[in-house]
Parts: sequence; C-alpha cells; structure tokens
Amino acid sequence: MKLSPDGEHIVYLTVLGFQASAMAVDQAGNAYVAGPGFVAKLNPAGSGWVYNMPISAAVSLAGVAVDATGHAYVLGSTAPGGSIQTSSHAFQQTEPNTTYPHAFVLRLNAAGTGFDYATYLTGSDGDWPANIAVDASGAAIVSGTTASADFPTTPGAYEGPVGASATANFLTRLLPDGSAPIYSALPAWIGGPFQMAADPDGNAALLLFNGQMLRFNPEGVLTFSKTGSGATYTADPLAMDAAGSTYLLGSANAGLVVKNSLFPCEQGSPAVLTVYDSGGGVLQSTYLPQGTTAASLALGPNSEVYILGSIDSTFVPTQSIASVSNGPWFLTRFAQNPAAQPVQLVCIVNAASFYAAPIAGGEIVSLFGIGLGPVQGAQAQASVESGFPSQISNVQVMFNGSSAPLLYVQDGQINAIVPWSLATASKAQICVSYNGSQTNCLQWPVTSAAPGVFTVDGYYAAALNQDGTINSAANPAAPNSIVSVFATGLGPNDPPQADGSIVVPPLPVNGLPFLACSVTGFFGGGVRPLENQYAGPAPYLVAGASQINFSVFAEIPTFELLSTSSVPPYFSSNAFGLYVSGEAPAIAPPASH
Amino acid sequence: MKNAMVCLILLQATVGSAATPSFLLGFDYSEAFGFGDQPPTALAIDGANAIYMLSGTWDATKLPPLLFWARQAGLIRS
Repeated sequence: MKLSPDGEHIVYLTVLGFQASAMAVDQAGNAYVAGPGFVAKLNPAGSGWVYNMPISAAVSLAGVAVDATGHAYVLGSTAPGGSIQTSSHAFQQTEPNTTYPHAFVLRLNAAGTGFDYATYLTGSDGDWPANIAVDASGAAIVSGTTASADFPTTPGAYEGPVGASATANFLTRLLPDGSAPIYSALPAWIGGPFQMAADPDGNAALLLFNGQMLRFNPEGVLTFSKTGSGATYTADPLAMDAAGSTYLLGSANAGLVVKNSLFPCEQGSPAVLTVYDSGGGVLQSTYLPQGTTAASLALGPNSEVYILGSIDSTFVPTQSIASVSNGPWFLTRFAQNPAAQPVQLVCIVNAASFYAAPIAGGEIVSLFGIGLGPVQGAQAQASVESGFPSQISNVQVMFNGSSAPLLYVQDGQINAIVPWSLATASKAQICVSYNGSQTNCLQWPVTSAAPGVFTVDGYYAAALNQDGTINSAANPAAPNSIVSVFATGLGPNDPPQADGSIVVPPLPVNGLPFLACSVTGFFGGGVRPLENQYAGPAPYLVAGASQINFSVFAEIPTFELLSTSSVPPYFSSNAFGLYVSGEAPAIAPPASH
Repeated sequence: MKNAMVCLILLQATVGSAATPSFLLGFDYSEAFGFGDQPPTALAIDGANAIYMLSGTWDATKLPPLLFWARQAGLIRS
C-alpha cells in the first residue's frame, strides 16, 4: 500500500499475489519487493512491474535494499540442496556444501536483467541472514547469524565476547563490486534475531536480541555501545540518517531516561523513540502517543520519523486515511520542528526499579521532565527533628493537592516520596511547581504497594554485606552470610509515619508482609523464601524506605521481594542480583510461594 | 548505613541533561487503520515522503469500495 505524503490518502493498494518477505523503496517511488525466489520492481503508480528478476527457487530472501542509482541489493540464503549462480569476480564463488543454508548477497543491474555481482557470504555450517543496507558508495552492509566457525572475517575485525549461544552475529560491509569485504566481523555471540541499520557514509548500528546496541564506523570499528538502553526487539526498531544519528524504538522500563519528550509516559512498558548522535549522546528521547505499541520505524528524506504499530482503546488519532476505518494499527510521523513544545512533567517511576507502574503511599519515586527545577541539582537537608522538606529551591510536588517530601530536585528529575494519604485514593493527579509556575499534571493510578529494590546498575542490588561494606564483584558476600538490600513501595507502616519523617526506634512494622525470595532461573522453577532476619522500615532513613536482611546462598543468582499476604492482591519487586562468593552449598528443594 | 543509603538513592538520580537546540523532533500526526489482518511487516518512505507498507494479508471485507479497482488490478504473479 502507498499513502500520500500527508498520510491521508491511499495512492494505491495492490495485491501482489505472492508472499513478500521484504521491501525497499527508491527516491522516485519504485518499490522493490522480495518474493519467493525472485525480486520484483513495482512502478511508482503501483500499476505494473518494471522488472521481475528470478534468483533461484531454492532460496529464501531476507532483505532488499536499493541505492540512489536504482540498483537493488538482495540478502538471502540457500535452502538445503539449493544454490545460486555466482559472478566471476565474487568474493565467494562456491558454496561449501548444500547441506546447510548459506548466506549470499546479490546486486541487480539497474534494468533488472542480470546481476552486477552475486556472492556467497558463508562458512561451512549454516547462516541465517537478517538485514541488508547499502551506503552511498554502493557498499552493501549485511548482518545475520552464523553457526560456522569458519565464517569469513577480516583481520583485526571487532569481535564481541563469546556468549552462551553457539551462533555468532555477523556484520559485513562489502566492496561495491562484491569482490571482497571491507570488513567482516562477529560483533556478538548471542544469536537470536537482531536488527541492523546503516547510514549513507557506511556507519552501521546493530540492535542485539538482549537489547544492546552497537554502532560501527565504515571500517568496522566500534564507536559506541549502549547497554540497558531500554531497547526492545520489535519488527524493525532501528534506523540511521545521513547525519549518522541512530533512531531506536525501546522501552523506558529498562532505565532509559527521556529527553524533550513530546508525550507523557503511560504506566506499563511505555514505548520510547530515542535518537543518538554519532558519538552516542542522546539528542532526543520521547514517548509515543498514548495507546500505541510501536513495531516498525522508517525515516523520510529529511529524517522525518515514521512509526508503525498497534493501538489500544485509549489511542486518539489526529487524522484519518480517507475512506479507511480505524483499526488495530497506527502510523505516526515526527519531523524536525524548532517550535515543538516538549512536555514538562513527563513521567513518574519507582525510584528503585524505574518501573512506570501504579504508585503507593510512602513510595520513593522519580519524576522526569524538563524545567522541573534548577539546572544544578539540590539535595534536601534533613534531620530526625525536621524530617524531609516539601520544598527545595522553590520546587514543590503535589499529589492530589498534598505536598510530597522531596529528596532531590533538578531541571530534569525530582526524587520525592508519595504522601501516605494517597493510600486511600485510586488515582492521583501529580503536578510540579517551580518558582511559582506549575507544569502539566499527570493522572496516575494508585495501589496499596509498589515494591522496588534499589540497584546500582539496573540488576545488582545496592546492598550491604554483613560487615557493613558495600556488596560488589570485588567484595562479594560470603555464603550463608546476611546481606541488606533496600527497597521502597512496600506499603503503609504500622503505626503510620508522618510524611517525610525519619524512622527511629522503636521501629514500626510493615502493614503488608514481604519476603526476599530466590528465583530459580529462567525455566519457571518457582521461588524459595530465604532465611529472613528482618523486612521492614529502614532505621534512620526516611519513612517509605525499607530494609530487608536475609541469608544468601552462592548458587542462587536472582532474587525478588514478594508479598506474603494470604489474599490478593499480591505484589512483587523487580528482580535483582547479589554478589556471593564461595562454593555452592547443598540446596533444599524450592518451596512454592 | 544512613549515608550509604542516601548516596545510593542519589546515584539513581544522576540523569538528565539540557536540551540540544539544534535537534528537536515535533509531532506531526497520528492515524489508525484497520484493513490489515496482520500488522504491516515493512515500512518505507520515498523521496517525496510517500509512505509504503507491506502486509502479509488484507481483509478484503474491510477495504473501502473505492479501492475495489485497486484490488482488481492486483498484480498477480503466476
């Protein structure tokens, strides 16, 4: 289907008559479609084929790209027993065997009557091609996974750490004539589906299945990587523009912080579009319109951003496609606009887990946005006598009209404590006031508990060993020793504590019981409550902060806090890790929770 | 322990930075459509900003009448 540039009219909608696996479009509006064993070029009106070039019946095509001169580039793999006709000057002219699928790269001539080159790009075991792009020089950049130990790499090429997967992720940039790689690298060993995009200069970005993004220069040198960037694997979440900027669809729950967001966030796993400059700095990171789940991303000629995906009932479109009813899919467009007005108060998350989830009274939360406070961050001055203030540097945060105690204020972030009075509400209106000027307000759901465990890196807990030192890789806890982790959002205390007060003995107790439990891995083996020594308000910290002391075992890598009420609702925290040394002791069978 | 905890909380706070004035995307439009059985599998844009979507299947009953000609003109490859 082709839509007009304003997105409001269908130019054509045509049934191809075959299952297409990939599509590319040139500047003039010709569409190049990869079908079963062939590539076809559809004219700009959608009224007829310009050419239809067969490749082989025994191949599958993973991707197609097109350059400024109308040459199509195809990435595919052979089926068992299949092969392609390679060109005389090809990098790899022969197929190692016909037992396994082998990747190949083709360049069609502009008329679509033959191949400028056709080469294998393979080792002796199987290859599974993923993406193809072409730069302004005509160099094809391809990616995929390979099980071949002898997959062709170039000397000195970047090689990522060997991981648990038996398959490596490959990234290769071929000379424009297909005779040799400019570089060919195995940048990761995690296998799985992943995505690649490239810019006209030949820079390339990879999004791995684990959410890590890697960016390479035209020579294959790693320029930066982003771990924990919030990236999520979707159908086509990655693109690069002519300036070398990388556009990435991701989720904010992994700790990604937005910048100049055009929409407030939603609870759950709000989708975010993030743009990184060529050095890895964040140019902008914005939530998407309410009710959308993004899947695919594409760029226009002037780096306009088009995003496609699915919607829920809360989505409100700003326009419609003529004669087309609304439905489960959406299309949205962003473009450079110096007059755009980013949202001031963008999101509220649990300050420990960074989950954008319903909030609870006493929960320490982080609010993100722009213009929320002074450029230089300011911390609260607190004492047992005064507690934490509800105003710092002329910043106040209101939850349903009640001032929240503040821990830290800054232009882009505020750390505050949800007033205990919110425990009786089902929804909260959250507003920030700075220098007498109020921001937009968030409407946010309220719950009775929202546990989150503080971490140092998104996974390993900010924990103390039994001797009071900080738990780390260099300073692990001894097996069977007691560690302390810190949490928030565990619900009301008994007796109730004043907002912002510092907890002192005699200590109150949690109204909702929680236990630290081990989580027995990725295969759903259940949970095992640990030997808990204490789970309650943290002494001499602000009311709303909790401390959990428990014994650890060496062989159990992942933990969670779980509520132990006999009746719903049940609550669980983010999963977290601890550094524990020593040999694994004998373990008891997991107990159910 | 108190100081350690406060520091740990504030470690979580070391985020955010000033805007880069030269780069600012604005929101243009959003729209919904419902005639595909599955979400489009590919999205591409040409030099004039025309939008191309590739979908595995289309539900013909949800196509508007004016598109009947387009469906009839489908370029079936045998």
